[in-house]
Amino acid sequence: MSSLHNRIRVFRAEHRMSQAELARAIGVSRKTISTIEVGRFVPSTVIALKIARHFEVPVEDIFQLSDGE
Amino acid sequence: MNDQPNRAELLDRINTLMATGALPFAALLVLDALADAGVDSTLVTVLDWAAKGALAVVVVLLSVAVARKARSGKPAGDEDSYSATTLRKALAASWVATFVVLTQFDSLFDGAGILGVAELPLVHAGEILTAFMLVVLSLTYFGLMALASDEPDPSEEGS
Repeated sequence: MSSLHNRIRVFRAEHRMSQAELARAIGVSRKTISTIEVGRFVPSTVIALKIARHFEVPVEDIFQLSDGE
Repeated sequence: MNDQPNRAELLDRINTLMATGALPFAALLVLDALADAGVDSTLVTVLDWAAKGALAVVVVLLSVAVARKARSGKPAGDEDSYSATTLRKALAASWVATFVVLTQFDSLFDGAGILGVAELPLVHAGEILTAFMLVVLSLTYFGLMALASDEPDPSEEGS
């Protein structure tokens, strides 16, 4: 079964951003960011694209799908 | 840093407020049914009006929410959060649980059924079912929110 991994925490650290700052920048709540980071909440395409746009990278750099193979 | 909550945080709080408000509303409905069964006319009158008032508040709030949503004409952007997704799951769970109870309605509420409540008037059965639905909604919401433990953001500590 495929699972979604993300590197939001890494990108936040590189940009010295807190969860709250990233949340405010893309217009979501901090809880939403924290649950995406730990993999509990699978974000919508819109949120994924907003995060990627904020860090100015392709969305695949932040979100990766692993097939568990 | 700006401590003012953004719109998304406010929407999260509204979702939590809805789930919280479901509990006292459920309690009010159950108390109303119990008071009616206990034939305390003063208490029945007070609780009847309280239940009607609470229902009116819910209807007004839902109407305002639906009207604002229809006027904005935006796609589901506002629901794009963990809190909103959790509320939708809780609503679905409460609907399913109530449906299951309804399928057993006869055996639960009719005559000397499982609950042992003989001749429970339909209006009270309705109140109890509504209260049950609200309690399931609230507990599911807070259960799922608690599962996603909101640990403090390490990058914010000491900043």
